[in-house]
Amino acid sequence: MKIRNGFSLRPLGNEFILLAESVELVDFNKMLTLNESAAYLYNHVVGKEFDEAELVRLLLEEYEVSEELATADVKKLVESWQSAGILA
Amino acid sequence: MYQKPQLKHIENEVLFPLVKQLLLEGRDATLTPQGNSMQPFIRGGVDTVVLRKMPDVREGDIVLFCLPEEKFILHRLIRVEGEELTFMGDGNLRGEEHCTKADVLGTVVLIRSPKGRHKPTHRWWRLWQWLLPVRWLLLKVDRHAFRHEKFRFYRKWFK
Repeated sequence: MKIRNGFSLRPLGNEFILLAESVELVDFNKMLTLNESAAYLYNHVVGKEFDEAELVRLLLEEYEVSEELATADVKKLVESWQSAGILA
Repeated sequence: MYQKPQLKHIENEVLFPLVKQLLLEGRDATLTPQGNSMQPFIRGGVDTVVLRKMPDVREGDIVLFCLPEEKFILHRLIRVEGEELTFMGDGNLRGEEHCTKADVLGTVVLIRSPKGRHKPTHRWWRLWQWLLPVRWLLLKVDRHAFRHEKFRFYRKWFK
């Protein structure tokens, strides 16, 4: 999988939001927020082909979590990215 | 790490700098204002507004502006004197804010109710301003009618 082109990650307080660059109207009521770790993953895989295993590896590299937890979280994250339509 | 889609309250000082930046880029921003200060024209936490950076502002516009110390306010522009602007919330009984045209971030171009109905942004505002002496009563009636089942026809107007 790959992250679609045309998004930009912008800081919003201590989180990040994903904005579609081409859209004229930015709706703050429908917005994908990414916390720090999700933003870390986003920044490392944007523009590249990646899979869930790659995300898990990245998480384990940066954070002290068990592999099970990382795998479970990555699964949910990918689901949320998929339903938000940012994955190609 | 993972978060379900949910309603999230974002603090003004966090949200509005980003809104400001987007408006300056020439994009529209849709958000749900909070608070009662623009009642009954904008229902806080209920109606959504679309903001746009306009070339100029005029009396009657609902304007997002910035006061010193990053205080962001969305109120009705009631007076324009050259570069000096005077604002007052439609839901407030007293208290005006003053700033200059340089402090304006954007103008409300659309108010949308939860049902998707478009509410007027300018209509009635002069009459509403003129009725200021009895505004306390009108607001009271409005609040009462909006809350009680008996007056649900009234609530329907706003949906």
